[in-house]
Order: sequence, then structure tokens, then C-alpha cells
Amino acid sequence: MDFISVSFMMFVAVLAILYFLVPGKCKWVVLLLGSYAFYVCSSAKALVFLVTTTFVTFVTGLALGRENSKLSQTLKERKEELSREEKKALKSKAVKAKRRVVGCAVLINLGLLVFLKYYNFIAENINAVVARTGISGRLPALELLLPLGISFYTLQSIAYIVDIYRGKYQPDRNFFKFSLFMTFFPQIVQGPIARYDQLARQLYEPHKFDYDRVTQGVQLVLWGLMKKLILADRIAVLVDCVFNDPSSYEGFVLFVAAAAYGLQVYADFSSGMDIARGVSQVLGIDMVLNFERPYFSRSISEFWRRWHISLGNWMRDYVFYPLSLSKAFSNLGKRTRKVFGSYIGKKLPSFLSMFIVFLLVGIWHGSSWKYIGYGLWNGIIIVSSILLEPVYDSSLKKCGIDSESFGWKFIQMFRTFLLSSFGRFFPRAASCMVALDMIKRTFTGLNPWVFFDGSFLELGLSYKDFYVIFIFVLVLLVVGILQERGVRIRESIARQNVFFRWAIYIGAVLVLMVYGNYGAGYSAGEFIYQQF
Amino acid sequence: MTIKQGLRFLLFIVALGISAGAVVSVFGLPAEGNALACTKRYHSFYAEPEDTIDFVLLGTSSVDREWIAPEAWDKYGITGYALNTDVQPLVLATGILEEVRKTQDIKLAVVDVRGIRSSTVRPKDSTFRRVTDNMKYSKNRWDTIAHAIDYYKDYYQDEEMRAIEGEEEADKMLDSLDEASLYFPFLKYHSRWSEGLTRDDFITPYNTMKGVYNVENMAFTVEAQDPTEVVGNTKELNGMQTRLLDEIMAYGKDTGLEILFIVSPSKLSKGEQTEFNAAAEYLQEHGANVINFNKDEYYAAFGMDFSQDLYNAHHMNSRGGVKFTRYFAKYLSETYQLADKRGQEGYESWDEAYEKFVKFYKEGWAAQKKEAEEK
Repeated sequence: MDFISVSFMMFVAVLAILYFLVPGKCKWVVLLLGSYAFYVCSSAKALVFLVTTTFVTFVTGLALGRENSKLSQTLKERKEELSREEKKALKSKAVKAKRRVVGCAVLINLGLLVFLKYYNFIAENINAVVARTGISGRLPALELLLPLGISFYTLQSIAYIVDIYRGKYQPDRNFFKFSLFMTFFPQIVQGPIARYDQLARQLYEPHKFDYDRVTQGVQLVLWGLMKKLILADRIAVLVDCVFNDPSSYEGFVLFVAAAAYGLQVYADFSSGMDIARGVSQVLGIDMVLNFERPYFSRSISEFWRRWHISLGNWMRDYVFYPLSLSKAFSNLGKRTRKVFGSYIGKKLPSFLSMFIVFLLVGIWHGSSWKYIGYGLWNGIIIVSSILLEPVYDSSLKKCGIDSESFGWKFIQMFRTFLLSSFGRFFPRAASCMVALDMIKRTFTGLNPWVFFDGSFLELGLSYKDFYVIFIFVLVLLVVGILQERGVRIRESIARQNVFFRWAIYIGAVLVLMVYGNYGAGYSAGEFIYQQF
Repeated sequence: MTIKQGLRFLLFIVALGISAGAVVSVFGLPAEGNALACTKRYHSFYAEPEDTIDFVLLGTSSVDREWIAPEAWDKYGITGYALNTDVQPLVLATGILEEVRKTQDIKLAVVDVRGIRSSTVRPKDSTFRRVTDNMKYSKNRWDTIAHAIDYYKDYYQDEEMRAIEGEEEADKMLDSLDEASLYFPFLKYHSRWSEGLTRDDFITPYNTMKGVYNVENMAFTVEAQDPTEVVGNTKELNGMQTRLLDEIMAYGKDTGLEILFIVSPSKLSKGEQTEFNAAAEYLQEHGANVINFNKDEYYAAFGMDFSQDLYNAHHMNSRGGVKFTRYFAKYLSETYQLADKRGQEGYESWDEAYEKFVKFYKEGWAAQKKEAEEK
């Protein structure tokens, strides 16, 4: 069942009616059944994987919780009689036991993800290496099913396990309620990657019908549909045209296609988030924000703090910090400081952590070298920008540029846009080598005249389509500027005169109806991040 | 939800529905050429007062070229309305008749079987749309589309047809069927904003001459043809062809509606005649009334002049149309005892239509003559 379908809208409507009709105690059951029904309708064969991950995570949570309680109870009961060393030994023993449990659970959950998503990629590369050495034998390619949302719910499960391990919160003791946390239908397709302490209680608590909240949720869904159908799916025509036959294009056409792909992914992914958040809001559940106007970023690192925020936060909390704060990295820092001096030496361990994070971000997107290239691209840019920071600062001072002036901010935003756009060659091109070749040909085939000779009208879009794109991007820009200034758009509209308000809502529906790319010849159902 | 909120919500839904309905009504079949002619004819039919139509004529594009309804009215006082469309699929015939019978107590349906050729029974969604997009939203419209879709699928899944079409082509046709947009044409036509809309998209277009064909200059164009070399041999009909004929005959029997099958007159090749002859034979064998006008005696009876009466091999110009209509209208009024309603209250629009047609006819041929002289 796709988000962009009549069946999904009907499903949400029926579920919402049922949710508000049943007594408070049963409301979470409606959500659980609805979520499983959604998953079965979307990816029935993969249900077993979801249930396995849910079960393993739940049982692990209980085991970790038991260890945590046992330790704290022992420490409490024998507070007086135990020496400091004995307490330390007890804690260390408990940590070791918990680590074994965490290790097993992560191995199973991550193992499922790695096997289903990456086995063929790994096998292919091993085969290539083995073939070069002349040894016979090959790992077979398997026709594997990639369960819907596995990249998202696996990370969610690991976050839960690690949080319980760290004693951040108590484990959930109701398997069915926990299943709802793992399978909540608006987020399972493409996130956001929820945290238990942020989402679970909201799911379990009953929510009454609130007219204003429901209408605001519907408005968010409408806005998501507009971004997807008017912008993302329209830009996709141009992007597909160029990336499906990259050798026929060069220079600015290639760059515009990459930049357009960035915009397409933004509109596509954020629209999916809006629909997910809107549907949740209808049901009284607030989901975390996954995008915060990334194209207003002044650096690539800021871009990644505003883009796919839940993934960034996950990587920060469960990869970057554990690595950076680990003993091994601390020792590494000491050594590198001796070799490279205090500035670079101090930063090198965190650079390494960052590289690992972006490598993982790249790999998370898909099983191909191009995604690894995408991760490395971002890692290199971010590390370079940190390394060059002192140079930038002194240059700005020498040139007398106010780093907080609009002009400089704009230049920074434009620079970020350019860098992120070049990065887009990697995930969209057919392979890493094709992406590198396209980047090369962007520079070697400079052809500014393509902006004037109608070349862009041969990429599957008419000039009227470009007008629609231009106007909608302008709308996005205005909305973004207002949001940056702290204006809450939906609340502001809600305060307007009823006729003006209705004109906006009805106008939006009509614009969507007429200018949306849907119907015969279009397959609007798929979201780009759904494949990840 | 408070009562006030509930009322406000209902009002909003009504306002949204009206606005969306207005937009949907604009984005229909492209308002140009033959598609516009079909739209006009259907709109005008719906505007006819209840129980004022004696009979309707269904079939392919030849029907509204040969049937000049105002002429039949003027000469015999009968009201026959052509609801044909280009390459009208015979599978839609029963649905159209059902639609007609909602408002008109017709005594007779004339069904042209030129759509029975093996090449024209091959379903295409574009030919469905010319009918279904012009039908008002109703259960019958829904059923007609569902029936057409069933036929479409059956056709391309039928072993005999797949052998004729080729497996690949049949699969391609099955994959390309966009069912949703047949039910909701807006899904297909909303993208017409980029083509540019015309006045006729916004204002419901009507045909004020009771469906007389008036696209471009075709009614006044002459293309001389060699007379049809009439043959009597037949080509065996396939399962899909007989299924369509059976369905229409069964509808007539079930509803008690008199159905007259015809093969419209025009220049026909020998190959084409074999399939029409077979259809006529099949219908006669099953007790249906059939007239194949492509016989020498009929050509002679209504005075068919192949050098003057056609604008291309398969279509009559208005001169041929008038000749045929006079003959056929006489036959119908006598055979089916259709009452002469001239002068009766409620039929004034037919007199007006005839006046308009006479003017249209005279001016059209005069202009054509002038143009020929100038050349």
C-alpha cells in the first residue's frame, strides 16, 4: 500500500474513525492492528523479518532490564558492605554480561539487514577478488527479499537496545505494545527513525478527537502530496532523462540534473515525512522532525544536521560518540598529537569517527560502491572544511568580511548547494565510475549556452513544466524563509479569516489536482527513500 | 467535535466539492475535431426532453455522416438521434442503450455493425473513452466501463486473439490499460493544462442540429470513389465478434427493445464485405433484423452516387447523407410505424434544427462550389 494512493487515504480515514470511536484502553490496539494490516498489504512476505526483529529486540530489552535491575538492587542492598573495588567489579561484570546480550541482539538484527540488503553486493565483490587470484568457486547470487522499512526499523531497534543497555529507560514489558512502537505504520516506510522515549508513550496513550489537530494533520498531508506530485515527480522526468543516458550530455546539463536530483530527493523524502507526520498528527501523535530546511545550510555539516535529522542523530548517538569517546580513539588521539601537533592531532580521531559515520551513512543508503562514494564525498568535504576553518577565519578577517552579513551567508548557502549537488552524482548515477565521469565532464564540457538554446526543453519537460517547477520552488523558498524566521505557517493560516483560509486550502487542493504528476503513465507511488 | 465545527466542516466539504467539480468538468476529452463532435452530440442528447426520441442509431463514424436527423424529421416527422462515436466499440452498445432508456422511451435501436470487423473489435481505451467520458456519472456509466474493461481483458487473454495479436502485443495492451482513468477521466486529462484549454473546455458545447456532423469542411467535401464491387462471400467470424453480436441480440430480447442491425453504405473493399456479410448472415440465422446497405439494389434504391456522395471511401458527405436519410427514414417510419410528430408541442427544437441544417447545407455547398470555381 503506497502513501500516494487512494487505498492509503481510505485506510487512514477508516483507521482514524475506528481509533476515535473505540474506548481509550483499546486505542493502541487499533493502531497495532492497523500497522500490521498496513505492513501485510505492503510487504506481506517480509512480515516474518519484522516480527523477528521485534521479538529479538523486545527479549533483549527485558534481559538488559533484568541485568540493570539486578545490579542496582545488589548495589542498593549491599551498599554498606561492598568496597569501591567490589562495586566496580560488580558493575564491570554486569556490563560484560549486558554487552554479550547486546552483541547477540545486534548481530541478529543487523545480520538480517546486512544479509538481506548487502549479501549480493558483498558476494559480488568477493567473487571479483577471488577471480583475480585465479581461485575457482563463486559465492552464488541470491534472489533476496528486501523487507519494507528494514533499514529504518533495524536502526530503531538498535537504538532501543543500546538505550536500555545504557540504562536510559526501562524496557517495555508488553510485547504487543512494543510491537506497535516497532511497526507504527506512518514511520515504517521511510522513517523518521524514532526513539522509544520520544514515541512509545504517545502511541500507548489514548488521544481524543481534536478538530484543530486533525485539520492541521490533513494540511500537512496535503502539503506533502503537493511536494511529491507537483515538484518531485515532475523534476524526476528531467533527472531520469539525463541520468539514464549520461553520455549524451555534458557541462551544465549534467550539473543541473544533479542539482535537480538533490531537489527531487528533498521534495520526495520530505513529502513522505510530511505525510507520515500529518497522518500521525491526525491520530494525536507527534513525530520528530526529519528535515529542517537543509538548503538554508551554510556548510555541509550543517546540511547534514538539517537533512534526515533522525538518521544523523542516530549516527551521532550510536556511532560517532561511542567511537570518539572510546579508549581506542582516545589512545589514538594521544599518539596523533605527538606526530601531527596539537590542532590536527587532536582532531584526527574525530575525523576518523566522522569518516566512519559518513561511510556508514553511504552504505546505509544502498548496497553499491556509488553509495560508499557518496558517503566518502560528504566525509571528505566535512573534514576538509574543519581542517580549513582557521584559514577561512583568517582570510575573512584580512578581507574585512562580516561572517554574519547576509551576503556572506548567501555565498555560504550557495557553496553548500553546489557541494551537495555535486555529491548527488553518486547516489543517482548508475555506478561510482559513471558518477566520477559525470563530475569530470561537468567541468570539461562547460557549455553555458545550454541555458539559452532550449537544450533543457529536450529533457522531457515543457517550458510550462519549468514554470510550474520555478513557481513551486519559489513557494518552498518563501515558506522556508518564513519558517527560518520562526513563523508557524499552519498556525498563521488558521488564524486568518475563514474565507481567506478556505481559499488557500481549496486552492491548494485544486493546484494539486491539476498540476500534480499522476494518472496514466506515472507511478507516483514509490518514494526514493522507500528503496533504502 | 462541536456542532459548529461539524457544520463548518460540512460547508468546507461542499465548497471543496463544488470547486473540484468545476475543475473536473473543464478537464475532459480534448475539445477539438471529432472528439468535440462526439461530446457535443452526447451533451445535446442529454438535453433532449424526456420521451421525445423515437430511436437512436449506434455505430462507428459512418453513422452521423449518413444520418441527418433534421432531414428525417422534416420529411417524416420522426426523431432519430445518432449516438455513434468514431470506431465505437460494439461492447458499449448495451450500456449506451441502457443510458438512453433512462430518459427516452425508444421503440427501436439501429445498430451499425461496421464495428464488427476483426480490426475494430480489437479494444482500445481511446475508443471506449469517446463514449464513456461523455456519459453522465451514474451506476450505468460505472457498469458500462466495468463491462468494457472485462471485454478488454478477455480479448487480450483469449488464446485465439493472442495468437492473432501476438503474445507480446497482447501483454503490452493488458499492461497499458489504465482502468482508474476510465472511471475518473480527470486522472488522464488533468495534464491538459499544458496543452492549452479552449473556450469549449469551459462552456458545455452543444450540437444544435440534432447531431448533424459538422466538423471542418468534411460535410461538403467530395472525393469520387469507384463503386463498391459487391461480393457475397463471407469470412468466418471469431469468438469475440460473435460474442458482441450475441450480447446485443440478447439485450434486445431481454428488454423487448426492437433492434435493427445495418451495414452502413459506402465504398467497401471485397475483404471488408466478407466480414460484414458474415455478420449479417450470423444475425439473420439468429433471427435478428438486418439490412446490409452495401448491395446493388440498395445503392440503386436511395441513389448512391459514388462520384459525388462520399468525402472519403468510408464516409458520406452531407449530400450522400441526405439521400440515405430520406430513404432510410421512410423505411423506418413505415416498418416500425413511427408516428409523425410534426406540429406537436414539445418538438419545436426539431423544426429549428431543420432550419439550421438547411442553412448549413445551402451555405456549405455554395461555399464549396465557389471554392471549386476559384480553383
